[in-house]
Amino acid sequence: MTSVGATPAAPSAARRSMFAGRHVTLPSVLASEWIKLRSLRSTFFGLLGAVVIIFAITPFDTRQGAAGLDGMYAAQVAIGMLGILIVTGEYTTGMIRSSFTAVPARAPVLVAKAAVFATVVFVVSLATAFVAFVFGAAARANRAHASLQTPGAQRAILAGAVYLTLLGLLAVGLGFLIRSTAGAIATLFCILYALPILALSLHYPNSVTLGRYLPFNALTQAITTNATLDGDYFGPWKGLVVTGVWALVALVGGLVTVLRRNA
Amino acid sequence: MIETTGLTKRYGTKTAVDGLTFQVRPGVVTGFLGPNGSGKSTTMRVLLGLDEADRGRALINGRPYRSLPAPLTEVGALLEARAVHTGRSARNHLLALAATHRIPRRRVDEVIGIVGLDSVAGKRAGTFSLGMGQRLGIASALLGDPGVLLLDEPVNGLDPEGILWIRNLLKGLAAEGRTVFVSSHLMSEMALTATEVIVIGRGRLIAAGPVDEVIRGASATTVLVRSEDPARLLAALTAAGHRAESIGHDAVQVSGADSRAVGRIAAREAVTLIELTPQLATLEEAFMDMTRDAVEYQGESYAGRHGRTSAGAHR
Repeated sequence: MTSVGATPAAPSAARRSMFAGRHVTLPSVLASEWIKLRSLRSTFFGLLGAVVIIFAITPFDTRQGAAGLDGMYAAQVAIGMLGILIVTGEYTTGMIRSSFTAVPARAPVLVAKAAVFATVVFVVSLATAFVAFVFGAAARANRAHASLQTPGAQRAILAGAVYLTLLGLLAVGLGFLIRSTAGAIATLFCILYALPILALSLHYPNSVTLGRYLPFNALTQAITTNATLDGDYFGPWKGLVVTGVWALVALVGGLVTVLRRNA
Repeated sequence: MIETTGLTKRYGTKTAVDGLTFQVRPGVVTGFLGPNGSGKSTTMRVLLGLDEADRGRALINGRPYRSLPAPLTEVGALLEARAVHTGRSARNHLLALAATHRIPRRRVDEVIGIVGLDSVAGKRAGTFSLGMGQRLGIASALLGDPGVLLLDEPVNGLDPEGILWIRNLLKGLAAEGRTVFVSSHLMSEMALTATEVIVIGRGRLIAAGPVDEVIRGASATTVLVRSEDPARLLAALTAAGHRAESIGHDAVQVSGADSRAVGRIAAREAVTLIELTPQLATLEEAFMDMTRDAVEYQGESYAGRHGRTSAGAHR
């Protein structure tokens, strides 16, 4: 009935793992999150979607002083959904339990996931924005639109990439905070589109008072050259700070949720 | 070494685990038994720091799980059937877990080999059968070469060959001096695999100890005796204060007496015996006896589930 072959070892002799002493550290969790991010097809398709959208819109962006980056209005959806999915995908599949048993402190998982995703989004969107601007400027040269020497043009490329990065962080935070894919995406759409529409429906200057604090208007200011900045709203960098605060609030909320709730 | 002291966990008003105290020692396979909803999975989740205990302590190697600096090298866990992202390949899943502890790539290949997933390691986990998913979960548990293993229903979804494989794997891991703690609803399986058992019902400890002792403690000793004069023997046994009943034309079943006592009474009465057999309860019967009170409160829904085959009764 019971096993005969197994001779019980002395109970006091604690068995030592061949990997004993390999502690979990933030760099090791970063390495793990990098493997996780690049081993999902959704990462590739999400980023590809954002890149294609930006390139596709550039030739049609022919307004005076335009930087050719209006595709970011739509590309931010792809980045935002991807940021949500890399988190909520872990909750819906049960992967989060593996993640948290490997890293029981939990906070490093959130920090590393956010850091790895932000880095990838920044690199991809900076490269895309630069190429889109240069090619877009060449294609639209005969119409005398912005070139790299146009005041605010180089800033628009950098600020656009920073904006998408901050938006990605906001999405990651919402993922940890809300956990459900549908709920997090709905919330993101409210922040990105419903609130700006609500702001527009208000009378001036209330529309601007609310509007200045919304990521949508921060994007508008970020990706325009100096000639077309709207003085009613915050300037490009200040708008990015506001967007960063949105991201920070979501991430801190996500962190509190992760540490307090059962996994 | 796994240790809980007065462990209590409530979800809202429902108490899932109620003052549970037990120890699991290294070197043997310890079975963790209990009816559905008795708190087995909750206990395991608390041990792994996924849920916070309301009262009491749950320690692994003397420390709460969440304070272990290198948890995968001390504890390997198989939680529910799936704790894997369905879109990621088995190898990448293991590589991501290994990276958190700087466990080298060759160890990932090694555990893939141990569980026999070599040919499908590059396929997405979402395409796996339940049995393959269990093997991947076991590979994750073995990754850090831990001294303690916590496995929740590891035989779920495995075919007979897989069940035999895991039975030998668990015994082998225990023989290497590891602490192997395995929950199951399959009592017969635990009888074959475990040396010790911990039985809980409604979140409370019902019995703990070596399998044979738990069985003996739970079920009354029964002796079957066949004789040429069953009527006289029955009368004598009853007169001696034993609970005896006639079954069949020449047989008597005696409860609460061992074969020696029955044999002596027969000798005194000069009754010729044809057969004298102690009836050994199975772990399954012992489990049913022990947990009867604990499941009664769950009423008909439990009885209904229990009547079904194992495939329908597990969670």
